[in-house]
Amino acid sequence: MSFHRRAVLALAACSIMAVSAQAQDWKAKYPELIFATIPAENAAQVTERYKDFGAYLSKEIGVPVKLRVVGDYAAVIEGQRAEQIHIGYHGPASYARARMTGVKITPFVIEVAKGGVKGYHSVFYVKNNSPYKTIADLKGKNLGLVDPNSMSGNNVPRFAMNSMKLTPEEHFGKVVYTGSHVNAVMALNQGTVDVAANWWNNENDSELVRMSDKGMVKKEDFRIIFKSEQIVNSPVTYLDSLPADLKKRIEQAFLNAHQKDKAAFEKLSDGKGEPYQTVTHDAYLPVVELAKFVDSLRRK
Amino acid sequence: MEMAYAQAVALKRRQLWLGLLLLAVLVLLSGHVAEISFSKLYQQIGGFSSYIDRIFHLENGRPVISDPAEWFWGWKKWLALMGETLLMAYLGTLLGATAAFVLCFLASQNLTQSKGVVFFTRRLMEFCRTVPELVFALIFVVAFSLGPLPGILALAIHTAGALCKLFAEVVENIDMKPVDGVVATGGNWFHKIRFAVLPQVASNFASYALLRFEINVRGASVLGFVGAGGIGQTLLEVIRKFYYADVSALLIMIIATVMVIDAVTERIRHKLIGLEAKS
Repeated sequence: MSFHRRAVLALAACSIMAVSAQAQDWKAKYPELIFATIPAENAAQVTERYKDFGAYLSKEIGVPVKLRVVGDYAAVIEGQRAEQIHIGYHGPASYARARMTGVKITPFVIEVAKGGVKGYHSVFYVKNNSPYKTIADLKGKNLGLVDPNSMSGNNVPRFAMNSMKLTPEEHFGKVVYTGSHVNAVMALNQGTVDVAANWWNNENDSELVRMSDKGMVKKEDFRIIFKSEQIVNSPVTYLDSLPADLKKRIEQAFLNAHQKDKAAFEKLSDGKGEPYQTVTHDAYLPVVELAKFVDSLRRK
Repeated sequence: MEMAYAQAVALKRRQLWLGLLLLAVLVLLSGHVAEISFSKLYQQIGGFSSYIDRIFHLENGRPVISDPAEWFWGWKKWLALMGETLLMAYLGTLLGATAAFVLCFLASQNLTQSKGVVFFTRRLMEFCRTVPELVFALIFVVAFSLGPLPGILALAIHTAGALCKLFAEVVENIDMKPVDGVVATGGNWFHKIRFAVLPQVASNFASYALLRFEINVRGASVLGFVGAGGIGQTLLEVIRKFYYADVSALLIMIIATVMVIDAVTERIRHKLIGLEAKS
């Protein structure tokens, strides 16, 4: 070969190596990614639901993705503030709270329920054999909420009751945060509370249905006495500080999950969810407004 | 002779170093298993101080002391909840201390003949002491519904376990001569306790019980997390919802309350000791 051709080939080889080296640069900075989710269910259930998906993400993105189970909704917020959690699955209210307190995260995909519905509802359950028909009937009884940062489990209930001119702490005997949607239903089942707030997609898709399928409770034992307006669905977020091509890979991994690892994807929603779709912060502006409003209710 | 001494010292010293080395290895190993990373601690230490910084600033960004009225905006509500917590701690301590008082003599080897009774009482008290109060509170919430009662019972049980051990140890330390004296004059078990043991142990019992009350105020605050009433649930809510200024306001209220209780119980205890010395 002439000298000219050898030089061109060598240059080509070097540039290919350089490009691939740059593309893998972020792997040195991020030897592993931490994925955390709000504990809508309890620790063991969360681990069970997400571990296959975590394995899929590790394969797609190219670095190990570790699932961290946290104790409450606020822990995901603080974890992302400290940049120890890279990918966080939030509820709408905990996402709004994170942005309101200055955490630098951006939502990139939104959950989608059956029928392409990108929203869900907050409901109040009572025991089927109890005499209560409306919230007014429950004066002096005990209310079980979920977590201070839960949309369907605290913020929307408080907003709705404010519209009914009720203050939860005055109308109900006791208001307690049970910690998770599962705990709220269990507390209602045991009789510790007389009404519990929870999330609900449709007749066949709610925390109650998930628990009933696992045999923890019987869904026939419960009845809904209140359903809220539709709430925007939960986002998955990543840190703003991640490199652009890592963000792209994470986004692609989530958007393609239903095709590339159907089983792991279906496990996330007990088979009732539809593929992820992209979303931006704009979808959550009403949630930020609601959260600020509920904050102001405290001072009344 | 000197050689033997030097060798004995050298042996002891070797054993000490070996022991320390083993301890260091075990600490490092457990740190590795627990994923403790000192480099991460060093990198992230700023996060810890930034949280402290955040809780001492109001929402408008100014430091909390610039506007105490805004900082303690909910003081009436919080004071009432603090009162509920104090009552919970008081009742829990009272019930627990009474139970401990009744049971401690059964756990003291110098007063109870039967080794079996002593053994059984001690194990029972260990159970009461080791199960975390939070666990008892959660169980009682299911049994007795929400409110202060589960908290009071949880505190009472834990206090009974903790105080019984301390009380029993105090009783085992007494001088047996007055006890022999009462027995010699024909006193029964009850007379023994009332006239020979009690005067020796009363001040110590009071001292431990008052200390326990102070500890229980903190415990009662935590029990509020599970719906047992008091300031706990509010504290939980403000922490989780990032109402930063409220976090510092509530913590200061709780700390101030405990300081006041500490000072008051100190005076009570001194009075009791004073009375004891005079008689």
